[in-house]
Amino acid sequence: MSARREGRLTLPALCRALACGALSSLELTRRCLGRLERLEPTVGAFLTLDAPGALAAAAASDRRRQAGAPLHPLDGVPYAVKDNLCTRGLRTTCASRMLENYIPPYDADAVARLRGAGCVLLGKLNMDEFSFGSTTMTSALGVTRNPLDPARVPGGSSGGAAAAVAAGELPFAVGSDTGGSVRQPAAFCGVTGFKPAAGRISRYGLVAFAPSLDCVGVLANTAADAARVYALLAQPLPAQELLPADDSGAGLSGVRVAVPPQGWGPPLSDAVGRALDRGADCLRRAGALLCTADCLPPPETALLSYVALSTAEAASDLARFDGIRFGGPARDPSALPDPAEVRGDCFGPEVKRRILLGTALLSGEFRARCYQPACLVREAVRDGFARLFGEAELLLTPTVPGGAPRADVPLSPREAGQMDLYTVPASLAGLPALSVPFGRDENAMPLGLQLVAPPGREALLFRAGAILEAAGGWLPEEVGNE
Amino acid sequence: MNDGGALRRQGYEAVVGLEVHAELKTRTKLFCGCSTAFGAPPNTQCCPVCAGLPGGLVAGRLNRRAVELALLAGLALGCDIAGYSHMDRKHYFYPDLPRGYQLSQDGEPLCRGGYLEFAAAGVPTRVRIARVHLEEDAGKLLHTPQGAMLDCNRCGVPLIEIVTEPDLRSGAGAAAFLRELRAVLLACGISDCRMQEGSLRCDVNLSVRRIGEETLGTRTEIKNINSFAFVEKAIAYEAGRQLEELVRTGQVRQRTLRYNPAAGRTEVMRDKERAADYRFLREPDVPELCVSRATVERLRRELPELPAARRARLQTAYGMRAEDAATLTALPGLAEFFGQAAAASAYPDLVLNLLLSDLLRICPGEPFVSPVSPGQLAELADLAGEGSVNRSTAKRLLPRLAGTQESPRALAEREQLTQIRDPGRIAAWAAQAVAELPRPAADYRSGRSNALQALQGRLMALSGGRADPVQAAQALRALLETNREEEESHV
Repeated sequence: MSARREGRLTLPALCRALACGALSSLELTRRCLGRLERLEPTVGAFLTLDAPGALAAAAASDRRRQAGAPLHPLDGVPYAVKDNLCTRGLRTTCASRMLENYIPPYDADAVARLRGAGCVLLGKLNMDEFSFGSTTMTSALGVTRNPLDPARVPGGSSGGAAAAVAAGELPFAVGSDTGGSVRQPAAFCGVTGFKPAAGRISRYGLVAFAPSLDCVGVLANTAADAARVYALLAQPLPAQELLPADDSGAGLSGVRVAVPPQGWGPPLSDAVGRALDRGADCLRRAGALLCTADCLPPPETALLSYVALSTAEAASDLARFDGIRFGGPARDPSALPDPAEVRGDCFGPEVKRRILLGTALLSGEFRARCYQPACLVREAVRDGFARLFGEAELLLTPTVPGGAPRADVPLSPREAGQMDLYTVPASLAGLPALSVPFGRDENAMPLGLQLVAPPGREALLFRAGAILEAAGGWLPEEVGNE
Repeated sequence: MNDGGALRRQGYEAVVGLEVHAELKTRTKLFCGCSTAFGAPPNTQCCPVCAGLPGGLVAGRLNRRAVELALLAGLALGCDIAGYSHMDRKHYFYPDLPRGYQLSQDGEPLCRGGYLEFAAAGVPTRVRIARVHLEEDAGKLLHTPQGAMLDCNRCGVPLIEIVTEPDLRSGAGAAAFLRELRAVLLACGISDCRMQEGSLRCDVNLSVRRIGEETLGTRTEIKNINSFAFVEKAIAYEAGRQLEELVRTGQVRQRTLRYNPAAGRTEVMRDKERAADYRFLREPDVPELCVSRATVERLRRELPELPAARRARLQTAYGMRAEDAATLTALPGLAEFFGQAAAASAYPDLVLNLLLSDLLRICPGEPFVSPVSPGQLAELADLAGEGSVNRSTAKRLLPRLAGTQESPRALAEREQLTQIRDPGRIAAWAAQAVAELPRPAADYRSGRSNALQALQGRLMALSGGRADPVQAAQALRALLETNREEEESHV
């Protein structure tokens, strides 16, 4: 298929090449940097590139390999992280003017884990400002385009991460997912995105959007690659969350997969409906038993709850940006900065909109009328999933209601929010969820299918994801050690 | 302004409630492992968590000891312990608050509904405690020639806030309450209560109303007073000021004030026309606090004897005055030390006297750490009690025993400080004193009995301070009266 694109390397191939000496980390890193140089003017996935740091880390990795002491099978593999994960000594901006020059004194736990395994950090990836958006277009510091069609958005908020993986600039990236911010851009860019269960990957060092929903997530070329990175980030890892090294051939015999009934959510577009049917059929042929997910609350209700909870928490989390420590040089060093002035200057319109909304939601009567009902809806969503997973092992839904929209047609907040419709329920319930590229829309842009599992069934999730990927038409062409 | 008196003469009373913040005695902060030690150079005891850096989540760590100390405070104050509670974000912008919110407890405090009993000017008083909750301290703004600087060392230090019902009626009553509360917190090891280091601070809520009225007037809040004396003065001043405002304008404006000790009055910090909206949000990163019955019972067993019970016991057991029992109870370690020394001595009253009037003077620190052992103090009291040394010698010996293991008796004997009670030697000194001071002797004989003091002083000096003063007086009297009889018989 023409959708197979060159230049994308999966982790097993890279690990084999590094292990047998066919490829050095330095060669691999130089190849990524070379590709970056060619593609970044179009794609714009990176906000900060750390070529010297990456080359030094790659050289160190090669020395370990030569000494016969690699730190981990992924030692020497390049990657990059969304710019809301703190990196010691490397600018961390959240794509905001507020943090444009902020250099953290510490590594996020996820970054420390990858450094500790010898992975090579290439730099920091673009995102919606403070993750507030679904297109990466609210970034105050750069424009990221969809590598499959530069006229279209990469999705968001982890848009830089999805675009970089899709463009073959790097084999995997680490992003964050609050209501779909890993899964949705993965679907728009034709890559795989994994959001772990709440609490499975440390969020320490992830600049908070909404702590009760935030997760560190993985974007990669395949479900198996995402599983490998997850296994590194989420320690200690129980065996049932691990995908066996060779899982090919293992089917879904007897696994009950629930599919939402007609009328759950707005009517699906033809393309999305077709993709969902084909996906379900594909799982059935692998041995799965299909059933209907009757006990989930409507996704529209979940979305309203998500908007209320996430903006309320976001307004609270962003209170620390009061102009004293962040937001550029003080206008008058002898006086304390005025928070309203600094915030007015340094926050973009979407951030201001959410702070206003979130502040209102916790104030006075709105608290009882909006915020507290939203908490109850979250409980109802959790209960619905608990009942569902009494009857089935997996839930299959679309990831997105359509393909990536054009960048030149601005979306209203409501339209942008609709893109989170199918991803938000698993976020509210704190469940592991995987998006794999599957099918295409009327513009030949990729669509995604989402699998949701109960906590502890991650291995099953990755296996079902791999089965869908194989039929989805978006697997990268292995170019191996070209 | 006279506390309460002027108010009452006009038919009004002040209604006072307190919010007391006490720093908990933990080594580390509430949500991270940073030290809580006082006085370190600025920003040397903070991390991404307590300094509120982006990404510095409080996830997964809560200082267990801080929770236990807050529960101990609740138990000591007779509160109900909540089986379930949680932390909330309390939002307000202030430069010393790096996250823009303080982690505190709003709707579900750890402890509710207790009381504290104490004597205010001799009158038994009970103040109800509305709640005790856990929260974190803010940072500190330093004003330097380079501009305002923020020190985050204190950010995240665990505190409890103790909120009373509006049961107090005067500054003196508030100060007495605070003294008692401090004694309780010290006795239980909950807080060091070092006011000069800000580890105990108090907000005052005050309104005035006509005596007999049930409803509360509009209140003002006086923030962050760090001395009991200032609390007392601030209340006295503010009650008078409110009454004056009420009489002049017919109402009191709701305001937040600070107390200016130099000017002796309250000053406006901000007008507070309506209640501040802190937009409380349950902290998503701190799991709910579930306190089991077993934990509560374990902590209840950890409670030491509380000051009120201890004072009652000391007064009954030793017949001491209420003030002395209060002094012994106010300083941690003091009553225990007294108990040990008194038990080892035949003269507990002398032990008490030497302890309160002499030993405390040479070791005024907190907590009480004695430079002599309870056994040494007991032996010293026995020497004085049995008359082996006189009282003033005993007082002089005390500092010389400090830091030594020496027996007071051995020291007194080696230094020849024991009292001399040999009648022959005392009679000889008496004769010499009379011979050297003929005028006082003559005065005494002519009926001015207080002339004996000069003679006795000389006798004591001749004896090197060692003559038994009672015997000395007897000897002088005997000598002077014998002489008088002889003189009379000659006439």
